[in-house]
Amino acid sequence: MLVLAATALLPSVGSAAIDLGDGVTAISGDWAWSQDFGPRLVRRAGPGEATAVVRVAGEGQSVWRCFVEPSVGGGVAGMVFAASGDLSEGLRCDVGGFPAGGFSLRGAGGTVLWSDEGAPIEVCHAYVIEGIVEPGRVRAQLLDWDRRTLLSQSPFVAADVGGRTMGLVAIDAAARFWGFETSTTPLCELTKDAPNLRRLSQDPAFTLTGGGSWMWTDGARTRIRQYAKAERAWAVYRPSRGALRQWHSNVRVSPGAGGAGIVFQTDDQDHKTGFTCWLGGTFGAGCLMLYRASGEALWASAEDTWHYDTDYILVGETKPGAVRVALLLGSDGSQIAESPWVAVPEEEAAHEGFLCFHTWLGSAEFWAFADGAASSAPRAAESSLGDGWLTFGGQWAFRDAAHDALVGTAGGARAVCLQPALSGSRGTWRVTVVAAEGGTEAGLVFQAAPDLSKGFLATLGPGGFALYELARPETPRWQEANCRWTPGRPYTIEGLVHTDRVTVRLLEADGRVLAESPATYVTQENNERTGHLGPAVRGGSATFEAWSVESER
Amino acid sequence: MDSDTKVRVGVVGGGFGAAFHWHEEPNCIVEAVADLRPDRRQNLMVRYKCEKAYESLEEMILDDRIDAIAIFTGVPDHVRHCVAVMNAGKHCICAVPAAMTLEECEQLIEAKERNDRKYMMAETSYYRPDTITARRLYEDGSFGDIIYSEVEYYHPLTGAERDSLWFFEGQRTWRYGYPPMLYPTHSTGFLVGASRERLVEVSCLGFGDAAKEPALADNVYGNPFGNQSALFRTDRGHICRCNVMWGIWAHGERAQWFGERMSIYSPGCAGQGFMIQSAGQTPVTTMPDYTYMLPEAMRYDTGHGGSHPFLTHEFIQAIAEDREPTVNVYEAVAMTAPGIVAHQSAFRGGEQLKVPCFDPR
Repeated sequence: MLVLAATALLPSVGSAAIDLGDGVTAISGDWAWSQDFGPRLVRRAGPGEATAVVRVAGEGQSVWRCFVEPSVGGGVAGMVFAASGDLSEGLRCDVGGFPAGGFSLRGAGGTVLWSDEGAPIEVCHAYVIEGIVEPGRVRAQLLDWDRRTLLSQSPFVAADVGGRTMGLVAIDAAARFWGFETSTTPLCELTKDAPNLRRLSQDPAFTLTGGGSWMWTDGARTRIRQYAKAERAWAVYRPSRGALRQWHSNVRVSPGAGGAGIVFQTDDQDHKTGFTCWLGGTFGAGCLMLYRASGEALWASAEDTWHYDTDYILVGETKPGAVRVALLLGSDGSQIAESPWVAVPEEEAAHEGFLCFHTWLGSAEFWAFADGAASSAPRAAESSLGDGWLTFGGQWAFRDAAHDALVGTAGGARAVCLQPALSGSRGTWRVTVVAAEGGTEAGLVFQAAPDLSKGFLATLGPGGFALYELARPETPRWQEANCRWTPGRPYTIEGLVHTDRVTVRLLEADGRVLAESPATYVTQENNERTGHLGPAVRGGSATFEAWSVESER
Repeated sequence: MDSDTKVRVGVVGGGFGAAFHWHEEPNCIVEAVADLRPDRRQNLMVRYKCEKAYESLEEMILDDRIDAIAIFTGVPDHVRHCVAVMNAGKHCICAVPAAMTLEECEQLIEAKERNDRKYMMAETSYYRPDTITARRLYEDGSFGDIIYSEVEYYHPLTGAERDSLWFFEGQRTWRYGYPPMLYPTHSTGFLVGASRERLVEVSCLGFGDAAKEPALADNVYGNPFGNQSALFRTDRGHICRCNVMWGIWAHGERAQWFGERMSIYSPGCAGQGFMIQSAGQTPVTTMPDYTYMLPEAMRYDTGHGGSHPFLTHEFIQAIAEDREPTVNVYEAVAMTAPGIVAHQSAFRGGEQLKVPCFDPR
């Protein structure tokens, strides 16, 4: 049990105390009342610590709260509660003191009991700070000025306090305070899903730059949102590194924001490389734009193409020597706008980088990017080869009139030819492939969604034999780099989908297994999901035949 | 404020006057509306859900149920209307500017003091969030002195916008050829509204090309300028560069406040973002949101930087609480008179002139 004791930081009420009226006594520092649609107690700027004692209104002694509006300067401003009359004993919750702002629960003298260093504290923004005292324990929480939106919340911390005084403290900072009260009921109950547990600043998968307050929107961690009315904010999604492929994310722009979008194949520092797929132009009724991330405009659609509070899918894509963007309606995937392929230098299109989310002058939400961070999904088929085969990039042709073999050729971007008629779920998916020399990667897409957003890929190439999820086609789930195979010889690639698991195998023509992955656990969604089969090729050409799906009985 | 306290307002001027929120202010009842034009009268009735309408301000003034009148008439009528309203024992809030001449400034103050009524000028820059921020940081001592400021209002009057503002049914409106510096408060309000400094000396230059804009050769104001730039000295010795221009291709109202310990930059039409820069600190780029200060029903974005609900709320609360409003008659004249003198300076080739002080001694 922690018993909080007096420290030297807070002075005693002494001869310097000044009655400021309305129940406030200044103990130290420069305090004054200000009128701003109601009385505000201002601690004027100055070095060191300023304290005041406040007579509070309200019921009970278990919940203590007040509004605080921090000023510039990076200092600390907060409330001392359940304190002794001279503020030497008690507890303190305060904002500030950390680079991002921060929210802390401390002993009256400043000893940190709990802190949320990432709490995004904005200058001249009003917050409610609340301390909740129960026998033998205490917690603190920070809410937005609406008294409803929880911003940060501590767990209960053991403490033994029982004072009846509220105080105010500001250290090396100016601040405004008002709304001093006690209550028997906190504004928010203790929750397991507090925002401080969902900040991207604490998530190693993201690198944040600029202003902004990025968070997972809820405990499911499927959507991120930039909440602040920030000038510019970027969040780089680090698992996404790659080039020469399609990138996508769903997006919803909040009313008032100037724009939002994705930057793809960009760097994680100043975002000067790569390309921006941007909803910009007229606020709330603007155009889809393609920029170089360095700022050079490459293309823009007509105005009135996107609107606030509407779900869209942003798509950016690079291929050797070109880049393009598209905007799809989130509800049904229908295309709203698409740029032409814009020629750029080969090295620029092939420059590897990350997927980055970007907002300007407001808030936007992004989701379904874990797939799009490195995937070709969702992807619209570019043409039909015949016999129902749908092609996604590259050049595809039947080897001969029998139509029982396909020849695919592709450059740096992986090309797929999908057969919707070959469908299944759990079972064995199979194709025989002969890959040409010269670094060709040939593979089997199996249990694939029609837009290639879901499913699996087994590849045979310079990197050996590997298994990927189509949602992350650049990050192998399993890889056998030492798998020996010979270009020009036939091999059979198999994908085996079982309940909760996937296995891939590479076989010689005589059935001998060259390589086999362990059972790789995947989402149970695949247990029942119907998908399709297709060959895939990159960096050369390959011939495919003997494709089949053998469903699990 | 007790919600039982009600201030009964009349609103006159169904153009800009329909852009406020009297019907949503908890302590306000819109008792009546007025406009000379039937279409604008109807606009006010619909906007404020008010069934009582008068055909003129003069008729509305006689309504004993009205406590205060919101005047959104043409600038040349402002002082005459405000004086009439206060002489009738009613409070008034009026669109900008407060006056067109120094004599009118005196008349306005005299009427306010003699009648002991509330007067407020609806200067929007005062409640733009960047100005509120500058005022807060100045007030709490974080800013230090504001050594230099740049305040500007650009509103290009070309093409269809020129025609719509300068003509009505083929007749010239009061805006036709109106001198920029006689409409200074959207600029001066940025400094006066932040530090309450007074602009005491001015040198102003003007530019106009009557060959391109015929209104500058023939208007009731004898005004040859479509663009004016003034350099002011304040009562604390500081410097303020103030622009008001109708003839350049730029748009918006913004300021840059350069202080001893920090500087603040308003967002601008060229994509400049809001920023607070101070020594040793990471720049603040998030514009503070002060809508929390408003009643819940009024918390939404509006024109002029979201300032309209603030102006509405402040005027009603000042009456309900029996206190002077923030942009009271002295602040209003402190924002208005410097432009009047600046315009005189422009006629004299930029001669430095003294701006009289109208504050109570």
